[in-house]
Amino acid sequence: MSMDNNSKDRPTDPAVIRDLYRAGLLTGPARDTALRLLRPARAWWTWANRIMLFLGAALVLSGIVFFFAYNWARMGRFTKFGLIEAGILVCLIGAHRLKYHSLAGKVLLLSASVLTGSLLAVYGQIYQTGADAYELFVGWAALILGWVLIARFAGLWLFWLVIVNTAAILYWGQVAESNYNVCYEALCLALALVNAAFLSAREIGILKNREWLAGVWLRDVLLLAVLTYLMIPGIGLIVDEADNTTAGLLALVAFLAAVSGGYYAYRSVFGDLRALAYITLAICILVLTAIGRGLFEISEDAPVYLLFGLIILGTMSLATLGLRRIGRTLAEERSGQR
Amino acid sequence: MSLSIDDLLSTLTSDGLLDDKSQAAVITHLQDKKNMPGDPVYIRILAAGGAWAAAICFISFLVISDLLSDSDVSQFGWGFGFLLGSILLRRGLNSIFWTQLALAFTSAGHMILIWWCGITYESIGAVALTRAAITLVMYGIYPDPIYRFLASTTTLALTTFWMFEAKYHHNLLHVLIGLEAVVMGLVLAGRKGVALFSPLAYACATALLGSILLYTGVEDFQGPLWPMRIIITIGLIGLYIWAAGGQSRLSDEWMLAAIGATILLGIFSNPGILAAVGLLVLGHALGDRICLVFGAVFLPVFIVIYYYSLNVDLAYKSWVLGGSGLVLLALRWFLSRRPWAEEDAP
Repeated sequence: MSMDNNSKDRPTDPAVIRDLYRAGLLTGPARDTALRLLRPARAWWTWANRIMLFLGAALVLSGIVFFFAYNWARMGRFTKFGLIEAGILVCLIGAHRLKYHSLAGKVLLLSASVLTGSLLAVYGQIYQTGADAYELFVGWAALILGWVLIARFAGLWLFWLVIVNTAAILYWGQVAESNYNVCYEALCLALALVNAAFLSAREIGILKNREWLAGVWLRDVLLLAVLTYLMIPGIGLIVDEADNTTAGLLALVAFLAAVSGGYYAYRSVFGDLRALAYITLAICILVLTAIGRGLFEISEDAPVYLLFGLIILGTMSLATLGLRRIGRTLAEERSGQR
Repeated sequence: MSLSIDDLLSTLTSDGLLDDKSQAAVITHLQDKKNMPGDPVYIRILAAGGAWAAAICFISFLVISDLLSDSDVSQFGWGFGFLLGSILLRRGLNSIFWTQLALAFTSAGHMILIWWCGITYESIGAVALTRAAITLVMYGIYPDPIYRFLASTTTLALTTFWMFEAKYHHNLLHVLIGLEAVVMGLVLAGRKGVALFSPLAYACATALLGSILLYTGVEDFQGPLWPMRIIITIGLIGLYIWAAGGQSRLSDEWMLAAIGATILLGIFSNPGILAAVGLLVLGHALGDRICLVFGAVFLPVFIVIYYYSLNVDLAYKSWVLGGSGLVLLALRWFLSRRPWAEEDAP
């Protein structure tokens, strides 16, 4: 029995070893040897080293936050500012000395970014400027943008994006809705656009071999955010909870564009079945909401529930069947490319 | 470390751990896997979500049409009818729609029977026992990993709640946690019947973390922690030894450092932290993403619970937090300068 050479050159991982052991094809000693070859002491240390760095930094930052919370009333304004600014400075000097692109440098830049938010919060509380909360987040995002750009750190990227999303939601709640009557559909569309822009930038970065963007989790988070922001107004329109029908329709069009573009990108360019599963789930939710709305509009009698249950099963079966087929095609394409 | 399958097989063969016949069997197996890849877990979850929603619709249909009444006969009959139907469908037909319909039937059957049991006996113990009995019967004959995972998880969760309700938890919960840890370790790292019992192992991981969360996070449920601490610390040290390749590694400096840190954490911290670390280690050793996700999600949760529940004022807490962070960073700095941290192989 032969196996194509390309498959034999494929990097292996402990999951494959476990599968072979479970199938009875490797003995216990062979399994243990294989696992040690794949996970030598140095690999374990690299893994533990990262966890210790992130945990240690998170604990120190939490300690600083608790320290301020406790000593708040007793500390003078200059002490408060001085301590936080000193913390930021230490982080920046540390990041500079350890190189921004090293793991420790990245964690220090992330710490400096968190402390910048604390500094703005302290400023707002001491001087009681009367500014809306969204302004803090806008200022925060603006102040740390430089570090986000130089760090080449996906975690900091996401942190910045969370701040931007929060700023937009707060701006809508505190200003846009009350002063300018901006509907929630417009907010959702704007946020979907921002997150889609980041997702596109991430995917272009992958095509250009930017390894620091390679974590699949970033794709997962951004794609789910885009789909969720577009689904909210879509569902609102279907169940008659829309503030603005035109904006709702626009969101539906944007949803269609996003799922079409996403399908093309993750089917033909990146070959990512999980991303396709998210897209399929989003389509199923919207389609089933529309069908359910239509059915229960006609009647709420018992047989409609039975019918809707069967429609749900039919829809999800089709989705599963489609994904399964795509998964097999992707696997064939991958082995053909190697 | 990146190693191709070819390199690995060559190494095992040259070490005398794999003969030519076994190597051919390995290649055939990998080729078959490549040609017929199984469903990833997220596709199974997608299908299960649809079946669960459909089950709610089926029960609504029965209730609205008065086919499912308050009588014992009706509830018992429909519950068992659904379960029987699901087994026949699942074992008789293999297309996606029928598989999903079977899963919807089994979900509906469980919901009705558990509801009936809860109303009739008004006791979590009775509900847990019923759930356990159904799971015991169905686990082997209903060949669906998602069902097996959900059934085992709910059985363990109900058993845990029953222990809390019956005030037996100070004794039995520690035993249950020990059993869950042993089953999880044996199944995930073992060989015999693993495919059948993998869902049970993941259910044990979920229940283990959930029980510790409840026990240490909710004031009403709290009790002595030492049995749990001992069980999890010993389990974690055993896991290190297994992952490192056996007892011969016990004298290595890095192993001693890991064991020392584990014992200290076992004495002073929340046992959930060690349980989450255990899942991370197991997940990393076996390349098991489910264990890694469980560990990564629950580790920060247990750390927050530990510091939140420290019975000290905020000032002291801030020093403990910052201090433990600095100790961790200093330890990292020290260990990264040890010779073995630079070596390529143990």
